[in-house]
Amino acid sequence: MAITALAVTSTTAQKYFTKEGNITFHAGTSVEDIDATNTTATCVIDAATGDMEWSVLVKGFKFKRALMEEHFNENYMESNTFPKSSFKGKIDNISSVKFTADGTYKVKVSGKLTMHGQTKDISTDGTITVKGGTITADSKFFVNPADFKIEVPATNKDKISNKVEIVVSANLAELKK
Amino acid sequence: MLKKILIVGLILLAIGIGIGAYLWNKPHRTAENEKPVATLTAENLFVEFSETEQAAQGKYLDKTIQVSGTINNVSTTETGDTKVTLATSDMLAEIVCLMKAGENVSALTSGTVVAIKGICIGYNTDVQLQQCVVVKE
Repeated sequence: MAITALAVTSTTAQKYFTKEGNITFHAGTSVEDIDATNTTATCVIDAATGDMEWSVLVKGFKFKRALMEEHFNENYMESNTFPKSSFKGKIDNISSVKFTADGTYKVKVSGKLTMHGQTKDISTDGTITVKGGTITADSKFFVNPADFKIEVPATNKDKISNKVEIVVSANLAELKK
Repeated sequence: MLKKILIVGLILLAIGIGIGAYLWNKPHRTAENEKPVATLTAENLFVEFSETEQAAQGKYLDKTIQVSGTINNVSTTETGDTKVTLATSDMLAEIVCLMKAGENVSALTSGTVVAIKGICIGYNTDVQLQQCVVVKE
């Protein structure tokens, strides 16, 4: 219910929100493509403080192959036990983003990424694009499954990268009170 | 003797390839032929998740459930899936239903009541169901 709480308290601070954020990852190697996309991630950005939050349901990642999706959920992410992944952090240089002026702004983001029940500090570069009152947030970063206690069996070590690329993109609209 | 071993070997190989091909092309699990573990309204499902998320997860996560409610919106996601949203009493919260590929939603319009069966994947502002089908009366 954090979102509702935000809506109530956002009388002064400007917040942007979406429930239709896209998160795609590429976990494959030259041996095999392992790609999946989720189109129902939530993202909230506080334009005043730079606070940023993402949240996504792990079972919502769609794979082309059903078997891959099954393995992802059951063997790697254990999504029955850990149904959500999230990021809570900050746009460190929020003051350089002019939410009232159209343009593309380079940002630095740092915070805590939680998945598979493990939390790690991460930092990455991204862009905020302001256009006619809506904003787009884009970023790309890499994670190592081992850092989140996701075990890759020896037989699949050549198929699953230890540098999984995660691409996030969201079109956010002003959160109405 | 050698011939027998060869024939048995070939049969095993054929079975192996058959199983491999089946697994590789295995269809996605959908709600279509599953019996719902619960039938409830969009509002009741939302209240259960927003008030007692852990308990609701235990009951519904990864299970097929049937939900009835008023349609807010029918749209297509960036990955080409059909999305039907059902209203709750909270302005910001909906039941989001991603339909199974090829499901016919031409009869669904905003403001009408529908029953949808889908696999529950959890709560993230919205309660989300996927691989959904429209339940015919």
